[in-house]
Amino acid sequence: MRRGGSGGGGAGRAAERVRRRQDPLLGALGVLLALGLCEAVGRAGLVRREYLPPASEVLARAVELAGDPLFLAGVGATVRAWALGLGLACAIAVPLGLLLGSVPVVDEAVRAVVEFLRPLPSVALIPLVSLLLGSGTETKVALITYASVWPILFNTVYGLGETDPLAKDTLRAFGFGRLSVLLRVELPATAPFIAAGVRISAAVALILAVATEILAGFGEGLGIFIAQAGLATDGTRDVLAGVVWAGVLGLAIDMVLVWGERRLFPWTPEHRGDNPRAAAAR
Amino acid sequence: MLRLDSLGQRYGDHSVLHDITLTVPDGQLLCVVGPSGCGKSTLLRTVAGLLPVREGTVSVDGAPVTGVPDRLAVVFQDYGRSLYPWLPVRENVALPLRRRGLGRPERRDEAERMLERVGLRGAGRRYPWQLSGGMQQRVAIARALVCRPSLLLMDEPFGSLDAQTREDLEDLLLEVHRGEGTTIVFVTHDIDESVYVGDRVVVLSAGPGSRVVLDLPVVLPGERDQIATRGLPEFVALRAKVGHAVRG
Repeated sequence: MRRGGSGGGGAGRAAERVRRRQDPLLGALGVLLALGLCEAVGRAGLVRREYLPPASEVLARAVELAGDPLFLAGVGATVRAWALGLGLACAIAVPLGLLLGSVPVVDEAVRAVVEFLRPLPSVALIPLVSLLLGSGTETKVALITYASVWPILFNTVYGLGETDPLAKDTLRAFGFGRLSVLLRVELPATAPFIAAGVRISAAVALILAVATEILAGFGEGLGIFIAQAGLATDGTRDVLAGVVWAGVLGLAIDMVLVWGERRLFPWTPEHRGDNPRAAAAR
Repeated sequence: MLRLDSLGQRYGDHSVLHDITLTVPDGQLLCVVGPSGCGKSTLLRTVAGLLPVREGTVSVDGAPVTGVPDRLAVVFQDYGRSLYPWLPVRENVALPLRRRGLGRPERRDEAERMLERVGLRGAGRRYPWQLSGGMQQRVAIARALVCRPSLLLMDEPFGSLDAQTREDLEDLLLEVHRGEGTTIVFVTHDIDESVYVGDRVVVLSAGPGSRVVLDLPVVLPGERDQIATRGLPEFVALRAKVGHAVRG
């Protein structure tokens, strides 16, 4: 559709819509099955109760934690570090990506450094960064930022490369200069790619936030709660309840971002199908 | 006035255009026809300043083309790719006016007026991808005309539209051309269309190294009409001439 102009793929889109409508149902079914399995294994005594408490107990504890101000303060600290780190990563990666993607000379100069840094597992940097910055918020934010920069950076560069040359030529033919083409065509055309990168980074950032807290071992945060529960006798239930919170947090963040993408980029092929305004025009 | 003087273009060793000399007087609607792959689009992109001139010169109103000429507008075949899906139709049309230093309300008014001109009154708030192909190409035409270009380049603009829509847009183009008197270079592979729309038809030979093989003024009696004009013996004769030239 984007390239051609005539229709096509209508059946595919319809199938897609059906699939999407079924998703929540199937998802709920999957969750129920998994919980049931955990519950059964826990209750059947296949493993010792201290090691794997039944799912119902874990969930009850997770709900109970929602009323615990100390625990919530910890979650708040984790989310703040997550947001700050992700925000910084966007502020670094998007301009850098635009630069790398539009100036080949810079791209070639920086490529070797990028290719060296990228495969370094961020989690392996936790001890080093803790040593340098202590085990407070700075360490967390620094590591989150570092890990989150890559998906956004690469998606920005990739998206720029995917910008339709005809869209750029059109603006050039109206007499606009290079910077205008970058800001008025390439940036908006790349925005959906950037957003997808941000969504990947959002998950990575949460992993880094919790992992850094667990390894650092003190301060406040969801990871701290999990780490300390792990040290207590009979703490498995708390550990698992904390993990449930981390999972729910990740799920909620992802849902918000997907919703935002659909609202911000209704023109992209994957969103046109479920956009009533687009369907009306066809 | 647009002048091409011994224009040659090549991609590496592959010669695309060879020794093209043409003068297009102000206000003429010139159709460039040729078999596919003959370098019609390359010719257009060169005139638009999107490709550097390799051999010879291109000049607009006496000034050699080195970059994109002033007061130029282009309409491409792929409206789906050249309209910006993130902008509403009105903003798409108003975009070229940003270089004219107009304020937001003036840009909006101009865009709305142009949309009305191409028969899209009230579509300004919609998005291009919510419109049919024909309507999208009308938007592209409105955008091209909004800053009153002195030279309008069209690269197979109606090539991907159905026959009915295409005829409607051909008539719209003729009407706009009569009204504004813009110089238009219209590239097409459709022989019928070239004779119907053009004041003059230039035929390029098959590549590599395409050259002008026919340069034909189109003189037809009366106002052009999709049914009557195409039935005229003059029209049929011209079409046959162009057809023979295209087939070599």
